[in-house]
Amino acid sequence: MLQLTYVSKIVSCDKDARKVVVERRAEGGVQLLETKMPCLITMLEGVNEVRRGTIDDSLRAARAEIVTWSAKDAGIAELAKCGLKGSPTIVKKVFAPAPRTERAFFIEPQKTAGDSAEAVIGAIFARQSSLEGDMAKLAGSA
Amino acid sequence: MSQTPAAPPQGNRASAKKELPEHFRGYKHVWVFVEQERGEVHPVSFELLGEGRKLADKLGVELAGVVLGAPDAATQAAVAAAHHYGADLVYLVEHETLKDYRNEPYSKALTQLVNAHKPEILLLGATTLGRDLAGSVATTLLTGLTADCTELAVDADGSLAATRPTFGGSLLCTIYTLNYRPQMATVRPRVFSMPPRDENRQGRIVRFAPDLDEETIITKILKFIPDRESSKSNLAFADVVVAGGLGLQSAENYQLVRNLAMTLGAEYGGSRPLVQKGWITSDRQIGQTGKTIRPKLYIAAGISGAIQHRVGVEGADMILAINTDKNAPIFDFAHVGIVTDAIRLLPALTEAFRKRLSPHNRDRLAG
Repeated sequence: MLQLTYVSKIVSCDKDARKVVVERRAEGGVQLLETKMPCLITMLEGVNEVRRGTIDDSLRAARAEIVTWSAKDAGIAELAKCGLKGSPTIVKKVFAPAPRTERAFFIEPQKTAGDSAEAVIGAIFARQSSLEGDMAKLAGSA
Repeated sequence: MSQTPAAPPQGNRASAKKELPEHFRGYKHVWVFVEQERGEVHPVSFELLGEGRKLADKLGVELAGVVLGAPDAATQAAVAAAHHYGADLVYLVEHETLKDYRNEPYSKALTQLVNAHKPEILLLGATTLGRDLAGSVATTLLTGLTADCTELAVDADGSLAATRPTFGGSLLCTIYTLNYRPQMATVRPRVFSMPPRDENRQGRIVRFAPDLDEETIITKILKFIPDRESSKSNLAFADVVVAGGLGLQSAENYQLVRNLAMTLGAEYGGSRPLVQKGWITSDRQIGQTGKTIRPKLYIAAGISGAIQHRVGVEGADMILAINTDKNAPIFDFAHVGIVTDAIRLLPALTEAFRKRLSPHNRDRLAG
């Protein structure tokens, strides 16, 4: 099936012509795409505001019967191709990230925030001497 | 898509002895998809060529760049750039239908190329383009794909070991594609460093004619609307980044982060909760589901440093952490830390940096 990912807006949808026009996020801009249905669309987060349902709809939802399909109902013959068993990849190990050999070098907070700030800056530049020149240049162009 | 679910390893599956089917044994060499959009190569492709070079050298095979595009000067430039960044050869697929990215012609062209020239590893950038393409190519080829990797390695028997965060980013896992080829992975921009460019480096070009026809491609591009220049953040490539977390306590206090960034000529960002609260826009999010950064200095104010944030900032040369909780995980990977309230320290830091970095002060130091 056709796939459209990173869709940020559905511009128009023509049921009779079976056509849909969408905006899709791309590197450095947005593509305006036209395609035919059926197609699979995945949308970006935050493209729409979730609105409250009406009471009528809430009641309808509460009464709705939810149909559960098994693999057989969905017409899948080879179960071995589904789920974890069917995945071509395996998880060989799961582990917690190793901490760095040493923790941060801690600066004792001073009497005033200003003194603390100077102590912090001193510690940074003492560790990475080229940083001061680089940052002065950057700040100068800001 | 065969994206691996975050499931714990099951003894028999994880330890399954690899017995690569006969027809996959001829799959050799490491490929990197060189992503072009609007006539520019995405920098992530060069980062991947740098990493692919290491994998290829370890395996004793060749590194190939894969360039898809319209027959034009930009495509030629992408081929040359792939050689300059370490590719031994470039597979060049030129076709009018490949002028701008669309899933259908790109998936077909790349799938046909893989079937014809059989790589053992295929790497793509985890960009909007690369993620879209990798998923459909892996599905078409019926092979495995490990998305958003943070580390790639080749193990003793030559398999690709792809490591990525799992369980909502609290742990890492290493994933293998045992009995299928190619082994596919995507990596986000800035996870790997940029390799040096060598203009004198040359390589071979292998042309491939895809079986494509504009008539049969259903999706059409009506228009491309470029982003406004002013709305683009340069977070991923900035030299200095200041970021805030929930420790800032309110949206108003986020201004303190912006003020410091402004003084430093730095970019600003934040952790995921700030995006969810609407304090910052999602293009300013730093971490596993946002931007990965590699600045010279990273200042994290009121960020606890969960693993999903950590993987996005670990490439920084110097990390300064400000947090009221001395046990916050951020202090486990920061270089310099101070246990204090960021809301109080940030304005003082802004003022102290302003003084220290002002031209006046520098002249005095120089004189």
